[in-house]
Amino acid sequence: MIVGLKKLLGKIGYAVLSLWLVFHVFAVFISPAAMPPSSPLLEDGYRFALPYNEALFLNHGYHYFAPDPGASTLIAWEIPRDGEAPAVGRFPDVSVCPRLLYHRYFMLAENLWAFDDETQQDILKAYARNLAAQFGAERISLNRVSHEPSSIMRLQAGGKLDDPETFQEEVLGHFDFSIDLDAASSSAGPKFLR
Amino acid sequence: MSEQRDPYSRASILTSVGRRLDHGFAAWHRFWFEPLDPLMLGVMRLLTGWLLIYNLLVWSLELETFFGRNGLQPLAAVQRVYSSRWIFSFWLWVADYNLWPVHIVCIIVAALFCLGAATRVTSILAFLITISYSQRVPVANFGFDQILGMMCLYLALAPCGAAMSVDMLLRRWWQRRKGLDPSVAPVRLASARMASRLMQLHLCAIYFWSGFSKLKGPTWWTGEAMWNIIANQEYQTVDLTWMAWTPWLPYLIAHVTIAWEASFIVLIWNHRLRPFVLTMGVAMHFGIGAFLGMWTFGLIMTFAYLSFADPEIWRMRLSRFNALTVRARLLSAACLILLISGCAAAPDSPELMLARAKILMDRGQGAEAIPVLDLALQTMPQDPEIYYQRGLVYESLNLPEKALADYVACLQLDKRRTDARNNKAVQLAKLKRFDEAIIAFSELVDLDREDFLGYRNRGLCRFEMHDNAGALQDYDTALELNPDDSSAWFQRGNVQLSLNNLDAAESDFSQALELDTEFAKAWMNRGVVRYRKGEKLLAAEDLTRAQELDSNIVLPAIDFFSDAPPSAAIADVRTVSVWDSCRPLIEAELADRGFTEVVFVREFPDLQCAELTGKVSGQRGTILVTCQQTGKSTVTLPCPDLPALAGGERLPCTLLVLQGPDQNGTDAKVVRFEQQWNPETAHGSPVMMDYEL
Repeated sequence: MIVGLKKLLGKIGYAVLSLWLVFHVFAVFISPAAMPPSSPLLEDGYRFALPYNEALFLNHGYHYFAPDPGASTLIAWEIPRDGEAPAVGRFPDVSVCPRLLYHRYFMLAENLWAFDDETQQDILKAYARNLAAQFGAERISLNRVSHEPSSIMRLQAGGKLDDPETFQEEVLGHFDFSIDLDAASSSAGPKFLR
Repeated sequence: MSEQRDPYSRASILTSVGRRLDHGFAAWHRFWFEPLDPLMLGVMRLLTGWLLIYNLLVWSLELETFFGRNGLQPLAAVQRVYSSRWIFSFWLWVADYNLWPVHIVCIIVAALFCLGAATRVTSILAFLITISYSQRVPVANFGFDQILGMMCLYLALAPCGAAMSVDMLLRRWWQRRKGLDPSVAPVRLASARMASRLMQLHLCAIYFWSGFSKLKGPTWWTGEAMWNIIANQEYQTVDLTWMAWTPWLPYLIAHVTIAWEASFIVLIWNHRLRPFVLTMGVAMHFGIGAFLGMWTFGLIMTFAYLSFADPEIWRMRLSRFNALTVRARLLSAACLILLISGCAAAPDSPELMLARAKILMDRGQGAEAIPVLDLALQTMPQDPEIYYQRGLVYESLNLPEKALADYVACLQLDKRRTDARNNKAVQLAKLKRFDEAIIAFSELVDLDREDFLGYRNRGLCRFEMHDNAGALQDYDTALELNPDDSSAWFQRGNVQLSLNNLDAAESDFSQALELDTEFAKAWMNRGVVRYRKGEKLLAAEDLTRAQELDSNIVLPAIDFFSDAPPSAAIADVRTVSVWDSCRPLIEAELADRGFTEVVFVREFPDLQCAELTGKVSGQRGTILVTCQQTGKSTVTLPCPDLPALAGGERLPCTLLVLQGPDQNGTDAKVVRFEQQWNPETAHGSPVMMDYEL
């Protein structure tokens, strides 16, 4: 009797495990399928598996260097200083070591634009606040820099990878943290000026 | 004699289906649950654990910066992103003062996992640690985090502590202590097979999507994608730009990459091809590590390949490793020689010189681009593109005759070049050969009925030829094709203005300004229209705005005073601080020059001018004062309507022009003082602005 029950439970467990394996493989394959362009069928499948994929950190697109590798993004910053030239810089900064940390900064500049506007503004503010704090400054400006890779022909013609024409800057904002710095414990946020 | 069974009978069909189902279940069981030596899972745990520790140590360098509540990834923003999502990260609940204690515990757990101590528990914790770090800093994630999470998930499911682990050593030690013979024969576990299969299928999913997603992009088809990666300065750690002189190589790598990634899901299951497929993958990921600096990503991907390795075959392969490396070295040397042999600089081809000319043009060195293009034409005189590019350079150097000759030459070689045809017509118009330009633009619009620019430009030429009806017709068509073209609205407004259709002109200029609020000429010309309509204050606003936008715009003296509203109505005019600061200077200056009884009759702070009266040499006269802005070559001077002043009695007039103060704090100063000034000679009306192609 007990042996029979054990066998039955074993079979049920086997069936459940098999079903989970099928679902898991489906979830892994369907996760990148919703990246556009995508059919409503694939999008429905993606949504079905989404909670599972999110819980296990499997919700990825695996679109490495796809569809077209193009310009890389950097964040340029400028801090005005009384009576002196402004402090300027960019991240990612190639001098950052180890390389994994450099890539973290690279991703901060590269991935931000995939988020919604509100998140982008909050995170840009965070970048500005942290950079300004490094210099004990209250005001800072951030720019988005797009660096286009030079073409083969351009290089053959004497161009270089870091030619100024390959960089394009776009103002992201001017930040003034004087309120925040004067009252560090205040709940009032910094002024964001665009 | 045995009875033959009917293959289509119900019993036969059921038997056949049952047999097939049995085979299917058996195959399913073998695929997922056939016991497997967990040796490779142990190796993967060691290697993955090592990378996890490294990852955590790197986070230690800037823990507060990234994980602090107000760090680069502010907690509130991350929580908002994750609201109503199924995300787990213990970092979302860790206060700033606990960052370091929690982080150190995580490193210790990762170390125990790596060594295989209490692996059943530490493997699960390692997975939770991995995803917690990644989910807390979503913007800083990249492929490495994704694959590390995947590896830790499957290792948490797998018996990864059953080999190469402290757990295994402890178990043997315990068996010896109990007087039992510790078994050295490898155990085989169904869970090891299952975890390995999950890793294998996950790798298939990764490469399937990685390969097919690349097919969405044109540059992977043209082969330029690989070059764009190589030439990405933010990624590269080794300068591979020498490949610009062996372009076939990046193109080849691009094609091979796609072919390999897209076919991985099929080829990897063929046991003969599997070593080849995996070797290609190792080469690719080591290339990513060596040349793009993403060693962590490259390594974790190749560690996952061990899930395909058969433990017994792997041991045999290791014994042959030295022999293989000698062959591999020879092969590498041969490849290197082949690559270096292609590194010689290519001769200066016309294409190359064309690219060089474009660089010079980008840099604003058009004059230097001309000899480069001349040289290109010597070797390639039949290339229309070179003529076209040289035409562009001449145009930028304001040499329309030469530009025209080049566009004509380009069209002789290729009649389909509508860009050259358009530019040729533009040059003709610039040279005032309007009749020829009209013909050229007509040819253009005949070729393309949707070419709104062709219609617009022909309209301009017709306007020049005083064919206002034709011009209006062309502008109507242009605006029908592209109603968002502010220039077309502006130019049609000019035609209406010259036909004295003031309302229509005002409407067109207003439309142009709605589309482009910085359109200085449209402000100017609407001011002209309004001036002619007698709306002089409105005109003044438009004209002032035009000059603010473009300091080259010349405003003549305009009679604003005659229509100025009473002073009560002017009271709400914005007070200009610049003007306020001019008043003391005006009074002091006039006093110095012998003026007495100076009275401000009317002031127009917004226009920065005023009418005064004062006595000099016993005679009363009118004094007109205006403040000229720094950096402007002309003076906007409101002149009084003289007969209206002093009841029609004409008084002697004095002109006083100030300059500044400017925004830099430079004080105002007198730049012109003229007694017996005759306003009538300076009096004028605004004129219509010029227009351009």
